[in-house]
Amino acid sequence: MQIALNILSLTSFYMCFALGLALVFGVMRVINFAHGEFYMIGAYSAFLCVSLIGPTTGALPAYIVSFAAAAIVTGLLGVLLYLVVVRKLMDKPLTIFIATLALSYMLQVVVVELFGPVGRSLPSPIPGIVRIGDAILPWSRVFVIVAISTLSVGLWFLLMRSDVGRRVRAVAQNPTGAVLQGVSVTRVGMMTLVAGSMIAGVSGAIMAPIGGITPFMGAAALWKAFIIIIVGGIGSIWGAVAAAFLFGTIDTFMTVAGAGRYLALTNAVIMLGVLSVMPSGLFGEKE
Amino acid sequence: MLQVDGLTLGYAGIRVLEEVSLRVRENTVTTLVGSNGAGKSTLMKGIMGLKPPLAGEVRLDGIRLAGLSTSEIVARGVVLVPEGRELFPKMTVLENLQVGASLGGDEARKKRNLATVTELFPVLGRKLSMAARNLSGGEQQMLAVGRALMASPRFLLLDEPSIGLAPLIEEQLMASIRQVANELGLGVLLVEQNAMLALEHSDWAYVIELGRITKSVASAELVDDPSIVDAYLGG
Repeated sequence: MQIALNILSLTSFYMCFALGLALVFGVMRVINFAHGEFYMIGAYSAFLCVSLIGPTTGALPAYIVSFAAAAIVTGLLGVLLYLVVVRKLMDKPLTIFIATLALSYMLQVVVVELFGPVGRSLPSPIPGIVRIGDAILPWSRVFVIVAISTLSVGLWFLLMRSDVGRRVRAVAQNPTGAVLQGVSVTRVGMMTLVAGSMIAGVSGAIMAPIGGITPFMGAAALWKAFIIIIVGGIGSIWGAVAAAFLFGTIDTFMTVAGAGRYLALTNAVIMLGVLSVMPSGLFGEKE
Repeated sequence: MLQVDGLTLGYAGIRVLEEVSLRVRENTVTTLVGSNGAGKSTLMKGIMGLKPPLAGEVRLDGIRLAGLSTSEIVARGVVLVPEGRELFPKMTVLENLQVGASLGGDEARKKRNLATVTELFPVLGRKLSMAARNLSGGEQQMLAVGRALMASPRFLLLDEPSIGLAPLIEEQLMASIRQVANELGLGVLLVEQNAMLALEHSDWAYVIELGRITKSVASAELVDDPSIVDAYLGG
């Protein structure tokens, strides 16, 4: 039971983070290397909110307000990224890749200057534990599972069931066809980038009490998200969900078995193994 | 009326269209006949604002479309069914139609358009939840036309709609296009590989050669023109 809950929480986190990245890539064919830093900035937003307004409002309200703060900050960063970098380099994906890599380092440096290189931690805003059978789970983790799952499912519904979502998928599948139906590809592109950034930021804020907050946490998360997207099959939402579950399960079992320090290595080996057998990933389109 | 006046278009120094002028009227089907590379697809792109003109202009009911984006042109009621269909392959038939309806007006209008499309192409109505890529070639072409109709067009541009289709399906598609033009009062501009078939189902025809319009006549007359029959209609 304990393990199942851990798998659930890890899977939902991986899924949420990878979906944001996959969304931006799928629609704009652009890899946002700073996606991880948006996540990190979301976590620092939570840290700031809880330490600044927490003492007056209480930790939990401050924690919840921080989701909105993270969404606003990373959403604005997404708008800036679009206007300054992506819009002008739309037909040069490699340049965008390098530019977002530069942005990623810049944001790390800025955060190091502001908060120092040493990690911070956010005391759990929801104290106490819950017993489910013989399993013990902190309430804060239950909250994270619910919040991240809600975010993922909400994103899925938005994509699959709304007019906006249909337009986003249309642009991803055939930009020419979408333009000819009157869909503004630039508007959809900007919206997607901003939405992807906000998802990263909010995930960061939600996850902040779990694990440390450091200026470098984004890079690790991004690495994991790349592995998930590649194993799942680039461009496939279902593939990303399946791979998130796969790695959520593997990572949980390895951590339980005390082999946590081999995680990165194992993940990379699995990725290379899958790619050597199925070059386009588990659910990828064969080009 | 959709009006093209002295339109000149080109790529990097090469002029593909030289002062092309033509008219597409409501409730009529106009065919553009010409060999490969004569500039037919370029003209379609020019009308949709996908290529800025070097000279000339496109007018809709006398109002210039110059400087408008493609989505603004679609919103004004000019919609292109492109060569190669350009569907959304992994989306269902219904979703393809819904994206088509993005600028198609209010909910009531969308509902009416969907009814029109499924009545015109009953097979689409039966396969609404099927992914577009799993349709046959003919069905995909119907979907491309249906998707364009969802945008409530007043003028429909069709670029090689019957390419790769079996003759019987081709014939059906042309008949449907004719029918929809009459029922909805649409102006249709048709570029078609099978020029003979297109002329049978159209009212007016333009012949385009090396980027210039060389003839503008009633379709029935063109079918009897020996020089055209030799050049484009396969004797």
